[in-house]
Amino acid sequence: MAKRGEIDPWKIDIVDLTDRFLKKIEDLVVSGRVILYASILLRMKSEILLKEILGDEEEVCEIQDIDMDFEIEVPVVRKVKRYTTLDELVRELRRIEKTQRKRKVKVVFERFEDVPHEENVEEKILEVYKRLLGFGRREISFFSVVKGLNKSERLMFYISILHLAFRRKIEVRQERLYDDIKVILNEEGG
Amino acid sequence: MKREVEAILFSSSEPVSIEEIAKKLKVNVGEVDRVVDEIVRDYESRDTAIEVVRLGDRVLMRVKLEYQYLVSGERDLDRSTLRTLGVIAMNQPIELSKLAKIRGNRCYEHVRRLEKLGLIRSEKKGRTKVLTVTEAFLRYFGLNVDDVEKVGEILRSKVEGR
Repeated sequence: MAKRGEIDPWKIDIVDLTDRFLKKIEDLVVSGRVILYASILLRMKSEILLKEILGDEEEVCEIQDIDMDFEIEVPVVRKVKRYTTLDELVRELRRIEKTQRKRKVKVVFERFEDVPHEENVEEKILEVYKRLLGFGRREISFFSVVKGLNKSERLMFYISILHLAFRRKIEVRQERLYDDIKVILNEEGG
Repeated sequence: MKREVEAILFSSSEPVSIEEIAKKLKVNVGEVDRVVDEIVRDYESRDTAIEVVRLGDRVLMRVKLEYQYLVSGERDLDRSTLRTLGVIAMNQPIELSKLAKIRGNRCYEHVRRLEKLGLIRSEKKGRTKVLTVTEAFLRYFGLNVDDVEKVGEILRSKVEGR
């Protein structure tokens, strides 16, 4: 079923699968009957052959003592199914709406996360670098530079500083965690 | 023949098509159709928990909706198919391509089953199909409205708890 693309192996609907399995089992009743009828035919053929070889001797009678003339009656069992109610349909619709709401929030969140990537990061780095140079001294306090900026601007400033440090334009030092970051302009860079 | 048709309906947990019954009994479709009408009326007049409902060209014998809570068998529509039906009912008429965007590729299988059950119908529109619910949908869920177009509105108010 997975090969035919009827089921997703990672998301199997047990009810659906069980239903299909039960339907498949129903075929076994037919197969069983076919085997029974085939065996009866084989027995009849064997009897004819035995009669031809042995004549009307006792062995044949012994086999005939076994009564095979019966039919297996499969009683009709009504499979009961519960029918879906309107309440169940409404409940599922509510669940869908809930999932869709969650998805929308996620999309908005992802878009928000994408914002810095959409901006021209290089331009921002250059802008930060120019600003640092504008101070006219080698050592600058990060806290004093970002003072007055909002959260995302601070973050962008911080990321730009990391980029500049990576490019060896500046050096960054921090004595202790959460302490101020010292930004030192490199000689050749500055 | 009435008893034979009743026996067929009783022994099936799925809706049975008139054609299937006619084939089984080796009679013509019109005759079965007439007998089914008779059985439907017969059950309506009886004080019983069982009903016989027509779902398009199919007939279903089932426990009446108000007693469904007492039935402990498996549900006829799995959750996934039911959700697809809900989306169709709320947004009808809806294009199959749009439904696939909402419900994913498995919706094609659901649509086939729902069409077979007579709960939805599809009409070709260009390269895609447009899906709507049927009168059988109303009977199936026991909705007391005369117009299938009102289904979306009714469901919306129920979902919003109005």
